[in-house]
Amino acid sequence: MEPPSPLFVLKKAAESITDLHFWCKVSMDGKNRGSDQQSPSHLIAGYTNQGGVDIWNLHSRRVESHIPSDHGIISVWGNANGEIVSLNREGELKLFVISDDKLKFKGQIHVPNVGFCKASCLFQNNVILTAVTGEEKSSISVWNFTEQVLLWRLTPSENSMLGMVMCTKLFINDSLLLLIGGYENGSVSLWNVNEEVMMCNIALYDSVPIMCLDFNTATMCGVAGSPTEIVTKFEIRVDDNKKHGIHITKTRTLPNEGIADIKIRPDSKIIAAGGWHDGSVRIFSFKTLKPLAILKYHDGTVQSIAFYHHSDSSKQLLASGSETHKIAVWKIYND
Amino acid sequence: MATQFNSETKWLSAIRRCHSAISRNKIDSTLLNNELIELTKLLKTESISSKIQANLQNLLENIIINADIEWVQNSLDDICVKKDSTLNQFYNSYAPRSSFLSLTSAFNKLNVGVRQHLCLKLLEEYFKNRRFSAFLLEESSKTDRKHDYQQQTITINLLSVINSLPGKIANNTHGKFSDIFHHEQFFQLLAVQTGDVLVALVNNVRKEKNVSVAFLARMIGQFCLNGKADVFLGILLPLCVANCNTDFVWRRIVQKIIYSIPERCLEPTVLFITKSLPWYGCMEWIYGDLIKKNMKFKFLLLHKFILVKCFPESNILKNIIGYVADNITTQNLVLETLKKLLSVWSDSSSIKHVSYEQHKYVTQAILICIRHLAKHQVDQNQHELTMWLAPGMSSHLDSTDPKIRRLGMIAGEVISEKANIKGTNKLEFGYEKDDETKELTDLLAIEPAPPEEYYQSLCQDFVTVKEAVISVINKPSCNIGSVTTFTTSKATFLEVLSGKTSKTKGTEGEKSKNQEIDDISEESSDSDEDDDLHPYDLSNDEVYTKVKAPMYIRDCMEGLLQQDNRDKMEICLTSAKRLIEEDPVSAGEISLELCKILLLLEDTFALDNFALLRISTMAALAAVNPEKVADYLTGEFYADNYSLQHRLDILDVLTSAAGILSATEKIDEVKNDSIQLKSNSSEVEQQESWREIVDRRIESKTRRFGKGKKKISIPRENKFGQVAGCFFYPLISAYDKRLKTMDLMGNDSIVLGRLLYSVGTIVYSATNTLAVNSMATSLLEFVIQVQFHSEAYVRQAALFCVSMAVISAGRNLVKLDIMGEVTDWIHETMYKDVNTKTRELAAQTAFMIKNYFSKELEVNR
Repeated sequence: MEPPSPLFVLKKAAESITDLHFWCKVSMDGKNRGSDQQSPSHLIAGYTNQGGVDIWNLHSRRVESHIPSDHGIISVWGNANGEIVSLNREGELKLFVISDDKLKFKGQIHVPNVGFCKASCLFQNNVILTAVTGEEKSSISVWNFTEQVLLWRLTPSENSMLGMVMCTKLFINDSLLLLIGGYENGSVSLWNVNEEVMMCNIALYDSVPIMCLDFNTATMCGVAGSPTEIVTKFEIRVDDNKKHGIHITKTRTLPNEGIADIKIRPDSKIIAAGGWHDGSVRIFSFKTLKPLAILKYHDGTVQSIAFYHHSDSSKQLLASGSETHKIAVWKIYND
Repeated sequence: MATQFNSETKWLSAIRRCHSAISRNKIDSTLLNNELIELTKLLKTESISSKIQANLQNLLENIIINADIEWVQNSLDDICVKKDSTLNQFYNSYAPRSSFLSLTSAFNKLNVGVRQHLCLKLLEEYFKNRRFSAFLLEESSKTDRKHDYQQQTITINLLSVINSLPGKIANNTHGKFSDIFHHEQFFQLLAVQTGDVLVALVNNVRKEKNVSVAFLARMIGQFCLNGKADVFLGILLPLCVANCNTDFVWRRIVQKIIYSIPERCLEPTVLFITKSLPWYGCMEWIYGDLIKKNMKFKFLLLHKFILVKCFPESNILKNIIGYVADNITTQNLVLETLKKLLSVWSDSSSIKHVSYEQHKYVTQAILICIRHLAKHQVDQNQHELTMWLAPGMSSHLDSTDPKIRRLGMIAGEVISEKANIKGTNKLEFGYEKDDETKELTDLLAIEPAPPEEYYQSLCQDFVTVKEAVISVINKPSCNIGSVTTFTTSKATFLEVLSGKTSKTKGTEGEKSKNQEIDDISEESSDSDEDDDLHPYDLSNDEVYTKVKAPMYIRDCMEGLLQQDNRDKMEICLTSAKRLIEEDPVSAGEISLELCKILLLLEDTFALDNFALLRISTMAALAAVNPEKVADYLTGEFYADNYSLQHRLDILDVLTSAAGILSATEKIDEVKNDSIQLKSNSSEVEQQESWREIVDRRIESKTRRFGKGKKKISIPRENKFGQVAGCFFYPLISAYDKRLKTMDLMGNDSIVLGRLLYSVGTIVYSATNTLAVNSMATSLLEFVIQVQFHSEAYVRQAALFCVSMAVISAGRNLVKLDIMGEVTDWIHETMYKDVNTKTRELAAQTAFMIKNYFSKELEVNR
């Protein structure tokens, strides 16, 4: 069976796409803006250079709002409250709110040492928690971004030689706020955020940086990609002494090197990985890492992958954004 | 005096009575028995003079040869059933040496029969009752009389009697004899009894008794000289090594034995011992400082075993050089030997004229010498070592044999490392590593002494061998199983430490294997199969390349010219052959141009398979447009300004192009599509007979199992016929021309050899074409020019050419004068060539020519 073609393709600016996020905006008065209450209404896309942030309406397939930026965007995020977060190359983490079609700037903090690290956000108790790089080289700060208060600093011990922070993922498990950080030396660490304690650290790759990682709280498994041709799946296990540990459970070697972004679909069935060189989006089974499909559309690095999860699985979507200015939206394994 | 006289008379009268009893025995059989009992009693009480000794021997012979046949039969039955008889009793108390001599001399005089059977049985009892040990002990208690030549001759005779006993018994009895007289078992028995004697001697020395080992030494030497070292010393040596490990008395005795071994027996004995000692430290225990005392021994160890002979096992070298280097007083001998070795090693003529095995042996010896060289010795002789190195390296690297080159590289690396204290000029080569190189580099490691348990196990081995031998003696029937146990225990001795390490390796290996199995089972529990998601077609998953493959051969050619684009170059090179084959017409148009580019293409990006791809592409080109390309390439072969590699490449291209062109059949897998074919021709169908229609219907309804696809070979025209001349003649046109960059008849013999192989193949490819006869003749003429080349490689190539010419042109060559000349040369090479491989090849070629021609002549008749 031939792999499917994209459902549709979005292209506006002559800039590369750096980050994508499906956004289900519910207005303050509780009314959904979209015609179909169940499907995602918007896709937030971040661009390089002066491309800023675009908010695409997925029904009209046009840009509904545009947030200009002087610097390239690294990551974008949005929640149902109409709040949008963007981080740019200069380390400006900005918060906007869209209400009644009007874009309002709500506040900004400065993030040092941005590098390549995207911001990881979590919407909890009406508060946006954001993990970004910290003051020191390998440190991570977690902010209450709604009130712009720095809550915790996750600094590894001095001689840990982790290198730069490459990617982070904030999540809650067992009422603990946890964070997985991927570092330049190829290792990942699990942090207990509230206590600012590193619970464990394990090398997934041998001295190549972790480029991307994602984690699924339902299965307690995650995946990571690197500039090499290997995808690694890992698992967080809690042993009898209530100690957390990360274990590599599976690896899969691809024919081509380099994975720019990797995401797990929230129903924990499949993974999508964006190829660095070959411009393909590779779909794997999350359970076994078995290759399922190679989606060929892009002709440049697939820099960003996003999934939209829906309880009705036929409405699940996958978006991939490439270096060569195009966003492709796919429907795959929806039954 | 009076008592002696008295006892002599007693003896004489007893012997006389006995003789008369033999003649009267027919009447009374108990008479002889009584006399024998009488004699046995006398043996215990009275002493024996030499005169009586001789008389007694005569008497015993007389009994066996002349006694009444009934009495002989009775005695034999007694021995066999009761295990005892008066005769046997007498022998048991009689002196072991004399008993042995009388029995063997009697045996020699007898033919097959009851008497011989009795004699054999007595001999068997002699060995069973450990009389042989007693005999050896008796000999060892005699004092050494060096200048008693009579005694020495007797000893030599005695030894030859022992030595030839199994053979004589086998011959005289026509093969019907007891197991213990089988060759191997007999000497094993002797070895075991000798072992017991050694133990007894050591005890005697401890008790401060005098001991002589002259006879033992002679015996061991004689046995080794007669080729019994494997069986005899194979059992005895482990016992000695095991005991010498801790016991100095043992060492003293063993060394004394070795010192007393006659010179003529020294070589086989020393060779066996040196070959089988497990560690060089043991050499000292066995040999002591013999190397300083005995010039013959020194000559054997340091000259003959190292420089003249050649052994497959490196153990012997390790032992010799380790032994010499271990002692400070003999340490300088290592350096001396090394210098001798280096002079042989670096001599280009010796490399050419000595077999590879021998040269490898010399290289091994050098490596071991270098390992044992002390630092101060290196410091003093640094200059000399490097002086040998330079010519040695060049003569090795000049060799046409890659294995010789590699030997040179390994030795060169090691010598330069050792000789350079500053470490500035260490040589480093990139050679292929395999088991042989590992074997060589392993020689540089320091051998550890075997652990204590090893020696204990040797002792244990001797005990088990002894038990096995005894069990064989006591068993009347032949037991082959016990023979194998001896050989296995011997094998364990020779395996030494390596056996121990392999054991540990074995367990490790098992472990890892188990682990593997675990891994697999883990994998399978979580394999791809139990995934409920069905994959899409994954065939679009291809390895990423930046550039697209060229679609036309002209694009490909342009890509090859882009020297700065790696990906483009790689993809063009890989797809060129396919494009040429797909579109031969347009490839033919640009063939010459493309061929030039390919010939001069350099592997700037170190691509995988670069050489192979380049040559196969050029060969495909030459097959598309043979005349032009062959003309160009053969011209370039003799042109200036090419490297030797280029010329070798040209030869490769021409050879494989000839192969492509001359392939007369193309095997294709063709589907059984007869039905399809016939349905197309519906008009013809009507005219077909009913029979064909029925057949076809049957065929279409019939299912056939297990036939698979049919392989149908399609005959093809041999396209090589018309162009063979363009390939062949220009190639051999100018071989004697000397170029600035190539001297075919001189140094560049490797190109000459390859040229010969190529033209041979080209002639073979032209088989069955019109041109082949004259080509084969020209080839033989070419062979005549190079037949006495100094390089073995070239001579081998010439032999190859001859066989190719004969196969291709066959009977047309029979009557040619030149064929006679060539055959003479082959016959001469077969016997006189220095190189083993060349001799083998010549023999094969001669055999092939003979077969081929005789077949041809038969056909003619």
